[in-house]
This record gives sequence, structure tokens and C-alpha cells, in this order.
Amino acid sequence: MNINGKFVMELGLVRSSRIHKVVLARLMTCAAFLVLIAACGGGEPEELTFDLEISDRQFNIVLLKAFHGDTLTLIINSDELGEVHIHGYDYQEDVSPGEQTVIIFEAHATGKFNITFHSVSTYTKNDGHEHNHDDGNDSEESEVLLGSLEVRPR
Amino acid sequence: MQLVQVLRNLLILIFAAGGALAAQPAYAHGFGDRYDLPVPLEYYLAGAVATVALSFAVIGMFVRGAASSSSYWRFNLLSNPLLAIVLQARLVTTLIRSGSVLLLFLVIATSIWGEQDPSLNFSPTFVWVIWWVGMGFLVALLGNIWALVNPWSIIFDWVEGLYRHFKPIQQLDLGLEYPGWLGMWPAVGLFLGFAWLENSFPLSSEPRMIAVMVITYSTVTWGGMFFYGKRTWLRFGEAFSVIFEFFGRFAPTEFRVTNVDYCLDCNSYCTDDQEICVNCYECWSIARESQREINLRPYAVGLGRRENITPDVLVFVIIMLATVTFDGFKSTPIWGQIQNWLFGAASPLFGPNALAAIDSVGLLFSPIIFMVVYLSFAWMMVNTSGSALSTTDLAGVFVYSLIPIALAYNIAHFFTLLVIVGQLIIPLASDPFGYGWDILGTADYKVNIALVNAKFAWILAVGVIVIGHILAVYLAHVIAMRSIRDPKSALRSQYPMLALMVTYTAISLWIIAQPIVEPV
Repeated sequence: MNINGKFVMELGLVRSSRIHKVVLARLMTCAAFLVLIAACGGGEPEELTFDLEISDRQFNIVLLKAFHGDTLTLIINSDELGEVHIHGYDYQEDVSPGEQTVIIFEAHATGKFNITFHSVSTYTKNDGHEHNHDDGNDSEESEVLLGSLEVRPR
Repeated sequence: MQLVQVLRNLLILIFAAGGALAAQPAYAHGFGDRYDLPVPLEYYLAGAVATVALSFAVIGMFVRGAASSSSYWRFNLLSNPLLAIVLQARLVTTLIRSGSVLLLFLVIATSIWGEQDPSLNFSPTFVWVIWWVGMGFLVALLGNIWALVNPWSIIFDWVEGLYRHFKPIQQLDLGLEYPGWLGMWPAVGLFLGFAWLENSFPLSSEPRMIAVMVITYSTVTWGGMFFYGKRTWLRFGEAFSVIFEFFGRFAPTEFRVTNVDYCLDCNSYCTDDQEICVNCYECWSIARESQREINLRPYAVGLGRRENITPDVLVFVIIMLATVTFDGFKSTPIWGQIQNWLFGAASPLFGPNALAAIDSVGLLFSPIIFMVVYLSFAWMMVNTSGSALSTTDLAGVFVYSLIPIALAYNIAHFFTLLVIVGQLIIPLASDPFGYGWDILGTADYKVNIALVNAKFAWILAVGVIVIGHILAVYLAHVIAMRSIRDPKSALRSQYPMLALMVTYTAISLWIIAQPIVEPV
């Protein structure tokens, strides 16, 4: 009995220190998981619509937020003739006053992508590429930042 | 004193170039657009916690008296007969070297005669993304490939070969005595100039500017080789050989000659205090086959070699650490605010170049700040350990141990750029001049922006930075055990060093957690 009791106590001691380690390890794994979960957006892909107005070369919404896999519909009204360019995704669409431009696409890539406005006078179409031919003497800005699209991972 | 001269020359260069800056032309497809999302707070905190916890784990290992011998695990790849044939095949190396020379000429040709829009021209993407970022990754993660493919060195060899065809046994170079006091300072100056072009010069991705840069650098390099001999210039003047040699010390491969006598004879300045002949490429290439080794080794051990580190080397490494960090820092919102504050003062002086001038000041000040901080920590280390070494000597002894932190940050910072923007080289390879060619049938390739998910990039960035930190702490301990004989003093010397490394790593983590602010 006595011996047994001592034995049990010793075992208990051994256990408790082991348990401490196990608990600590579990806590750390939990913490790691929490971090991962917290970082996850979670949820299913959604359909998002943005009503965008360009006035005076500015967007009414500066930051368009979406999650990976969402389907985005951009409805753009502009007070000036030109072109809207979503960098990275590389969508370039003409816009003009009184006309609605609609861009629909799936946010298949994560990241932060600038959306810029090119006024008509500063670009020339040339087999899909566009560029200035004036070798940098043009001090007028050909590209104006309207806002950006932020696609976060789920 | 020499540093002052270098800085003064650089300032002169800046003001000379200032006139040429003018307004920056804007292009429809901004070259080097970055799409990275900043690392979220949770990742940043997890990284910071891991950094501190693992630092103490490493210290604990040493407290318990873990072995810290200077020899390390090695595996000779040449012991495998098949690998020995492939790795030493003349044909393979000749092809690779010829390809490298071809690329140098392609860069020069496209930058002069190609379309001047950086996104339509081969040279900006190749020089800044594929070569500068990619070569840095390759050298640090695989081995010092630059020593094999350095086109300036290869061309000099070829010309010398041709010269000897007509005048046998004669040297092509003048063989002037290289002034000992000059040390690595030419490389320091050239690298600082390069870092300035990379980080603060707004026209650095203009093809014609690249032409000027490459031709100027080639002239300087061949001039240096012609006056002082190729090996001397590669060691003291060719900035990229110097920097990639530092990166290559981190790499898991080494070139070793088992007979040290070769290294003493072949005059390539690379024997260290222990007279081990590692990464003396010149000596390796002339050594007898039975005495050559290409070894696999653990990462970072090459940075722990016993060597005499002179002030020029110390300054070079500090500039490298500082400019790598400044490169990231300059696109944080805080730097944007600093630019705003200074703009009022800089604008009347520099006009349209005000922002470039502010960036230049930042780039020049960052190594000074790094040096002051590092030297004060070195001073603390001298005091805590009671070491007989002077502060600057101790700073020299430990400076290599900081390199893993810088390399890790470099990888975290540039990974997505290399993988996403680097894809531009695929269409550009088919149409290097932007004339509408399609040599390889890849001209219409569209960059796949979904290749790297942001979550993967975050985990990679934080993971790499934490690993770099652990390697740095470990290295510093190995160096301390060796250079400060008494184990207790050695351990005490490491508390300031650890504080410095944790701070440096925390700054790296903080930068990658910042939104990237870029002027459009």
C-alpha cells in the first residue's frame, strides 16, 4: 500500500511533467492553428458588383475588396473618354460619357492590382501593345491611378 | 577617410546625373508592377514569436555545450563517376559560358536598338529581374554560378587566349602592382553606385540607361583587369564577383582543392587563416582532377570561416545589408510620409528630381545608420565579454553572421516579383527588341498572375525570414565560441548580438507586413 502509494505518486510526478509538456505542445499547435484560421477568409465564392463612377479622373470607390474565386462585376460610368486598365488581370476597356462599361471576371489570382485611367490623347493602339513613342519628352501624365483591386486569399 | 572619398565621389555622380533625370515618362504597362499583398498581422506576429522562441532554443543548445567545431558535413559530388563527368564536362561549361556572353551582347544590343518602352524591351526585365534578383537567389540557394558565367571574365579569357596565339607566354594585362591600401574599396564604390541606380535612380529601367550602365561597367571592369590582372580585379574591383562571393558562402555547395599548395601558388587571394582552399575557382580549374572536390555542405557554414576581415570588407557587407533593407523600406507608407515631409525642402533644390534626391539621401544614410548601430552593438559585445579585441575587429569577426538575415529578407521580398514579373522574359525572349518578332513562338505568352497564391507567399516569406534568423544566431555562436575562447564570455557576448539580430529580423518582418506604396 505504502509502496504502491509512493509508486503512484512518483508516476503522478512523471506524468504531470509529461502532461505539462504535452499541454504546452498542444497549446502551441492550437496557437499555430488559430493563426492559420484567423488568416483564412473562409466561406464560399460570392458574386460582387461594384458601381463605379469616374469623375475628374477619380473613382468613387478607391479600394475594391474581394476574395479569391469571387465573381466580380464592374459597372463603370465615366465623364471622360478614355480607357480603364486593371493591371495584372490586364483588362483594358474603353469608357465614354453617357455609356456604361461592364467588366465581368473571376478573381482567380490574389494580390493588389492597380486600376488606372488612360486618357485617349496619350495612347495609340499598336497590335495589342500600347506605348508612348515620344521617348520620354512627354511631361503630361498618360496614366492616372483610379484605385486598386485587392483580392485576398480565402 | 577612404569611405569619405567614396561618398564624395558618389555625391558628385548624383549631381551630375541629376540634370539628366527630368520628368519620368509614364508607360501604359508600368515595368516591375508589384501585386504583393502585405503579410497579415497574424503571420507577422507568429513570425516574431517564432524568432524570439527559436533564438532562445539555439542559445540553450550552446548553454548545454553543444559541439561547435569548425569542420562540417560534406559530400563530394565528384565521387559519383556520372556526376564527375557531367559537372566537369568541357562541352557543358563552354556552352553555358558562351550563352552568358551572348546574353551580355543581347542586353547591350536590345538596350541600344530596341523599343524604348521598358516592358517591350528585353534588357530591363533581364537585367533587373532575371539577372540581378534571379542570380542572387541561384547563388545563395545553389552555389556561386556567377564565378562560372561572369561574361566580363569569360571575354577577357577569350581575348587573352587570342592574344597568346600571336604572342605566346605573354600576359594580356599590364600586371601593375595593385595598391594594397586600395583593398576592396573599388568594389565598394561600384556596388554603392549600382545600389543607387537600382533604388533611387528613376530612369534605371529605361533601355538606353541600361546601355549606358552596362557599357560603362564593362569598360571599368575590363580596364581594371587590363591594368591589374583579371584575378586581382575580380577579387577587389568587380562588385558582382564580390557580392556573389558573399552570397555563395551561404550556398550548400563549395569548390574545394584538397592540396592547399595550389591555392598558395595560383594567386587568387582566397586562402583563409586556416589555409583551406575553398571557392578559389581559378585554383580549382587548374588543379589536378584527383585533388578537386565539388562538395555539398549545410547552408550558411561558408559564412563561418575563420578569416581576417578588413574594414573594406566590413563596409561592403554593411552596405549590402542596408541597401537590401532600404529597397523594401522605401515602398512602405512611412517612407512615403518621410518623402512628404522632405519634399518641401528638396523641391526648390532638385525640382522634378526631388523624390529621387530624397531616395538617394535615404539610400546613402541607411548604410551609415546600419554601421553606427552595428558598431555600438559590437562595442557592447566587447564590454559584455571582456574580449581583448577592439570594437572594429569584433565587428569584422561577426559581420558575416548577419548575411543570412539579409539573404532571407531578400528572398521574402523578391520571391513573387521573380515568379510573376519574371515571366515577362518568356515573351521577351521571342521578341527581344520589341519589333514584333516571334523567334521562339512565345511572343504572345501572357503572364500568369495566379501562379503564386498570396497565402503561399506569406508563409514562405515568414518561414524563410525565421530560418535565416536561426542560421544567423547559430553562426554568431559558432564564431563567438571560436574567437572568444572562454565559453562563458563567448555566451555573454551573444546577448547584445542576439538583441541586434532579433531587431534586424523584426524590421524585415515589419517591412513585408507593410502595404507596398508605389507611385504610378
